Amino acid sequence: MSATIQSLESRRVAAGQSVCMDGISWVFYEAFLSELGERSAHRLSYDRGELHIMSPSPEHEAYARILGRVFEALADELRLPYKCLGSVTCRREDLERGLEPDNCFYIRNVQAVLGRRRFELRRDPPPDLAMEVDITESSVDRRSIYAALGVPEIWLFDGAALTFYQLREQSEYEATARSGTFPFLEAEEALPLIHAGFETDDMNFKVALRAWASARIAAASGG
Amino acid sequence: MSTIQEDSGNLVVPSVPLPAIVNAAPIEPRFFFPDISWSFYLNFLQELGHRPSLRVTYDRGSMELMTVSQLHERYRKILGRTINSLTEELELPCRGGGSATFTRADLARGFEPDECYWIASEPRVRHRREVDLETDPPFDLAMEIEVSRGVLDRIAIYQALRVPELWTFDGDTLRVRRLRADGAYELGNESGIFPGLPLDAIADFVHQGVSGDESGVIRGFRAWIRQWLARGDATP
Repeated sequence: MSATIQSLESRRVAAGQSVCMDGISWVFYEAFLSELGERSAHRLSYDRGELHIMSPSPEHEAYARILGRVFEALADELRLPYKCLGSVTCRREDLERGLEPDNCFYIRNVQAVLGRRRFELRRDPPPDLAMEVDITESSVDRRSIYAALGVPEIWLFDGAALTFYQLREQSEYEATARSGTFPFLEAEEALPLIHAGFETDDMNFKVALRAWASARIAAASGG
Repeated sequence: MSTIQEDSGNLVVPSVPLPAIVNAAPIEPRFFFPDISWSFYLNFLQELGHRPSLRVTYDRGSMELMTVSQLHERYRKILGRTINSLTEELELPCRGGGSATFTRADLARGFEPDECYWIASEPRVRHRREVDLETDPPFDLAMEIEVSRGVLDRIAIYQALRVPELWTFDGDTLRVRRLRADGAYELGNESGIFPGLPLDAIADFVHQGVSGDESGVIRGFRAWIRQWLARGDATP
């Protein structure tokens, strides 16, 4: 298995395109979001005057969906209620920060978003888990936005490695070997699944993930 | 832990190295936004202010943002210097508009050329602090550096604005488009502003400029212009 993971490390996800502009007002960031609307192919992130525009590559989007499916297979098997909000805009004017995750889930706070058309992070809790596919240096800046918004856990896939991050007290993320949401899950065992998800059709991938999740959880609860 | 393949029969974990699919970062990242209003475009320009590293193009409801690479800037500067040298040596009046933003609300188009010059129509804009293309004549000559291409057809915008002559340079070949009477561009190998000027020679000087000392190359270019003028094939 370790040999397999080694060989996969040469793989890189095709970079999307990105540009960063400083001196941008919050009012303009909001106007831009509303002009682009929900269906925009671009992701905007904003951090105290700095606006980052990113257009993800199709591969980037594919990996974000795969990460979500791994989460869903485990949560379904555990009968853990969750709501996927995809790339919903998470922003806080009072903190002058906002971003659109590649994928995100409400789990512990799932009740807060059920049946909601709009939600306001100032009043509502942030997503419990965000997923990021990133192959550029910008993930570091995005992590500081996630930290300010108070997102407890991030799964970051950089094209080669999967890393779990947990928000600690000093508003900083700590990389952990295991997921906070699924304490039995190690990043190293989830990594081959992600690569396999890219090579497999969605139906077979979901069937296989279900079988894996069932066996994995049985093993975790048995041991 | 290491038995994923056994646990999940169908899951194929590739065990051979996958072909690398490394995409080098695009030279000039571009962002295409469909469904953008004219008022938002103006708002965008105002918020951005003057940023030489970015170009914003608007064409009837679509907006494209592009970043300008260093190579793009070098081509632009050197090609611009050849135009300046030509107008100076030929004693043609010239007003440069650089990469300023030009908007035409009536045509729902706006853009920033790489370089632009009023030459024949220079007297008509000479005393204008700010040229307004809705009322003033368009520049006579524009430069478009095509190191990369976007979604929006910028050449069509020059055409819609009835810019008489457009030079494009893709890092290899210099091409000239001249506006015909029917309003379409005709691709040719002669400039209407500098008749008889060998375009290949200009491209050669641009190549020399990016690989050598710009001052020296431009000095050489000026000497070359004088020789060309002395030979008598120039009919400005």
